[in-house]
Amino acid sequence: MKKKAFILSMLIICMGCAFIPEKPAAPPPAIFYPALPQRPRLQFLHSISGESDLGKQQSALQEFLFGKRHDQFLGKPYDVAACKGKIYIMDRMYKKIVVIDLTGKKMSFLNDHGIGSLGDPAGIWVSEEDIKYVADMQRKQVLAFDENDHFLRTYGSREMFEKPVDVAVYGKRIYVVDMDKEQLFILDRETGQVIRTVGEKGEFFKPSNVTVGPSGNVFVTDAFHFVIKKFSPDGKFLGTIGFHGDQIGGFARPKGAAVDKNGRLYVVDAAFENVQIFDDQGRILLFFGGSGTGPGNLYLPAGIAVDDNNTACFQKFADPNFKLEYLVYVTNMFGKNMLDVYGFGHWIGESVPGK
Amino acid sequence: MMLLFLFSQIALAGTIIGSPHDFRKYPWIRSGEICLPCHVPQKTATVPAPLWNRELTTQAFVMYGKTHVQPPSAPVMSQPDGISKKCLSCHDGIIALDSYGGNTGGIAYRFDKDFMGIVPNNNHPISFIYDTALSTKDGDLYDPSTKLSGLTNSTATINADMLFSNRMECASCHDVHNTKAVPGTKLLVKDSAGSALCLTCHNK
Repeated sequence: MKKKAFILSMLIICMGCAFIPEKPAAPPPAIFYPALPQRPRLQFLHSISGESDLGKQQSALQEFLFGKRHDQFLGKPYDVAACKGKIYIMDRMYKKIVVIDLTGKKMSFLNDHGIGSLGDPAGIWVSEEDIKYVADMQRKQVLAFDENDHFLRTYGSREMFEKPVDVAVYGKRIYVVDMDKEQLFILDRETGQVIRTVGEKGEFFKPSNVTVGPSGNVFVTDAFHFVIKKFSPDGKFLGTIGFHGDQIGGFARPKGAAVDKNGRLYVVDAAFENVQIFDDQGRILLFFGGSGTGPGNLYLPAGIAVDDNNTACFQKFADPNFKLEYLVYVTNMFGKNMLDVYGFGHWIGESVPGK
Repeated sequence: MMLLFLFSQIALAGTIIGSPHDFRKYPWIRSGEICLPCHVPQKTATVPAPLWNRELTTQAFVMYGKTHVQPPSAPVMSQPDGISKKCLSCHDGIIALDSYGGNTGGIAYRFDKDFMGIVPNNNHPISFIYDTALSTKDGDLYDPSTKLSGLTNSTATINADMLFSNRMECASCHDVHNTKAVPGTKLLVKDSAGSALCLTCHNK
């Protein structure tokens, strides 16, 4: 009887807690790139390292009744991709794909099993239809998973690939970079047959990442040549972006790359611990991030993705004077902030310098 | 010419030439500049670009800009830090082996009863302060300020030879430039036969 009375009183206390409005904390100052008073183009919005960062709160009553929720955390995120409502992380600690459900505010592993088991995943690409393509260094294949995360099929074989490390998809073509063969493979999305390879003449030196732009142009991170190489959808070489050096626009340890719908190229550098943005002619526009542990800083970053579909989920983190256009995700292999979310947008507040 | 080719293929003790970090042995390196993969050349030109940040036309980046981003006084590093970040930027599991998995998840390391961070797959923790206080507290570690490192041709202490700002880092045991590494090892500064390298610091 005494116990029941105690539980009842606890319930009342807990429910009472739920109705007491929390005192709103002063919002932290917005981090813009470039910083005000220049016209900002990008704002650091949020970091996601575990399920609790997705905003789903466990009430005191829920905790009392069901126990403390066991949150899923990111381990060592390397590559990232997104589609409507979801972010996919290729996590090198788990060697699995972590699915971040932005609508349900939860994290889970993509259930790869049986013939669709991942061995040593490296790069991930997600199509608009939510088909996941994963480059697997151990299987020496690209694995595809459908919109329900079910295994679909594989591309390539041990005869074709040595070390496939990244994959990108555009239209009917799949682009795969092989770091040991030093080649870019262009595959037919339906048949899986090789349409063309690029790099037999030693053009690449440890190519590590591949991405495609809005018009189908292909961008390969030529890691130890310290440039990004640009190709037409058919694999015709179009030019290089960046150079080896410490000047703005240069690279020391280039890794993940992504292109926005306007053709702007984002490139992660793990040594400078920043991301540089280039225009569609390869001219440097801006860099952001930087070494450190503060909000917006990067800590041995690796992967990047541009996301046009989930801006609404993060608008609440944006400054009222900053209208988001799309999101930029950057993974950090270490540090307390595993996935940094930035918003590209435009300033709608009082007039500031800059075009 | 042939001799030169052969020369480049043979690992020379005491030099980076021919070591695992000499990438010239790969046919696709044309420049042959051995330092470039790890060290970035300095450029001073002004960038002719439509920069969004107009104050930064002569900006130069610094590799791993803030050495030890965590407080210098913190004895326990929750993350790899300092010069070890240089190693981990390539040894990420994709470009090169990531034998170091990080201080998250896996087996808990403890020095005495103090929580030391968590390391998976038997990886040794890095970026932590190893000093007299830690050796006293642990009881099974030599005092790095008095114990000699025992490295070849050295009469200096562990602290002087193997630690960086009193911290254990990747380079405490691995010699990236192969100037003093034991041939046939993974660029270890001391032969691991009989666990000699471990027993440099661990008093077991």
